[in-house]
Amino acid sequence: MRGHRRALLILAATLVLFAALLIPRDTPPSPEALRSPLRRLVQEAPPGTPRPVLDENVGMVSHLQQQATIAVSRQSRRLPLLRGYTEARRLLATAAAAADEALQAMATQQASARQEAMTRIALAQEALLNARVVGARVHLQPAGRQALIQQEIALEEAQRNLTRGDYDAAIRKAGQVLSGSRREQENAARTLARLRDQTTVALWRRWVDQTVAWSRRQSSTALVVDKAGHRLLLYDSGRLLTTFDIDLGLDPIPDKLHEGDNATPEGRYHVSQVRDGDNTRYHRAFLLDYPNDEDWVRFKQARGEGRFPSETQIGGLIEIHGYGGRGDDWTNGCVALTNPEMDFLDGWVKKGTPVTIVGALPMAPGDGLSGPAAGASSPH
Amino acid sequence: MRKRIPVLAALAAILVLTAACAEPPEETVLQAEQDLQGARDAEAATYAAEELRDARLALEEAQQEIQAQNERFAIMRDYEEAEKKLAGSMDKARLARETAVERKEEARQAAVESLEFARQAIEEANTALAEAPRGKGTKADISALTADLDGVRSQVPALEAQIDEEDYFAARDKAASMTESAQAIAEEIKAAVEIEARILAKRRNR
Repeated sequence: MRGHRRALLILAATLVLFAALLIPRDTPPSPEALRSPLRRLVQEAPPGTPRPVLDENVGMVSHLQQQATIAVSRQSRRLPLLRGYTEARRLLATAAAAADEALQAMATQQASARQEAMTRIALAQEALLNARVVGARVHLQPAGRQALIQQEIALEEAQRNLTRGDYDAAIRKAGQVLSGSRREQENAARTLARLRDQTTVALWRRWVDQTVAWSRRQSSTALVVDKAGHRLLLYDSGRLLTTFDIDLGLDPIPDKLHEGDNATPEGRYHVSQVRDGDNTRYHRAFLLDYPNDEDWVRFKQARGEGRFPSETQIGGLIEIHGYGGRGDDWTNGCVALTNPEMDFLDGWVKKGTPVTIVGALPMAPGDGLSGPAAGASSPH
Repeated sequence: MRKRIPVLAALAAILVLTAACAEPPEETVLQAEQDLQGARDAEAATYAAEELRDARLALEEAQQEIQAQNERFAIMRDYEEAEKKLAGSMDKARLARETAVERKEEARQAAVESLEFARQAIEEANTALAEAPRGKGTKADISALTADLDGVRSQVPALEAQIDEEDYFAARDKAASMTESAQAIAEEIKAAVEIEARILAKRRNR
């Protein structure tokens, strides 16, 4: 009987011990918690993150999360009383921290890419604007205009890329615009460079001085056209009477070389005919004796060098005429003033009046070229 | 009764062995990976990013579940949850692929339509240029605008190339920019023609 009781006691103790072993000491992280880091990373990754970057981060967080899941699994092999999930929780926390860090890094990277795209676009806009400004000064020719409109289209594309969040494409496009615009600006600047060439400028200065001296000696009228300044200067007896704003040929900077180049010639000319009424379509016109001997020499030399097709002519019919005052260069090479200004000039200009046209007229001490001379008045 | 005991024991043994023999669903994993690659090949990353993301996440989680089961006693392994996740991943990958194909076609059509709009805008500007009076008053403007329009037109081959290369979003951006430029040119032509008309009227009144 006693033996039977002992056996029962042992059995009860064994059962209690066994039951105790089945009581879990620790609870594992929930399945949701175990999936959380990777889910957060994948779902919250900033749109437009480059795939290699996202893949690398997913791989890293996935590995850590998997280690945590495995740690939980391993504990399932043990008796509940012996199970502990500290390591699993630590790994899970590491995975969560890695996901946070990756998200932050990707967000920073995207913000930085966005900023760079915006900066590049702003630079490209500025470069394009500069190219337009310099281009306007040289009155861009078709190739230059085409190049600039292509840059404009590319700039708009860059802005659309930015809006779409495609920062790499925006940066690439803006870079193209930047280099393309700078190239056009440099081309235009090269055209303008002749206006600063010292030898050429000295020659122009000499022509003007000689014209003014002639006017003084002859007590007569002379005209000077300053192409860069877009002005016509009226001299009488060596005195500057007044200046007028003018419109020039479509290609206003270079010297005229041949027919159809839309450039205004530079040289010392004379009025060969005064036209008005039905003799001109431009209210009133002073026909110049272009081409002169020097023009012919330059033309023949350029043709010899093959700078234009051999059948090209030197051109003619260069006038100072009316219907100007548009503030733009639009003629085929003529000089245009407003009709009232032409009427005013008609009182001073006659056949034989010297007209000296220069690319630029640098200021000289005592020039008095800043505006109309005091006392200048209409001859009428 | 005694005869039944060995039978029951045998059945139990078979059950245990069956359970112990639970194998990871490797073929299903391969299939799910192929489906995911199929979605990527269909450019789901571009056209169905969210769907692709969900498919990828489901596959990652299925693989983690498999790894977790692999760590358990053989007798305790159960891949049912992993199988469910793999099935979910495959469904999502297929959805991503189908969505990508559908949206890509929509993007293609939109790009082609944009190209047509751009061509139409260029044509309209060209007609306006052709009809603009070539007086000395408009000559400068017309000449400049012709150059501008040539600049826009010169972009058409690049736009067609983008469509051929299936770069539809970029093509649509370029086409929209070209259309805007061509329309702006048409407006400028109109303004130049109006100026010329005013000049002519002034001459007639002279």
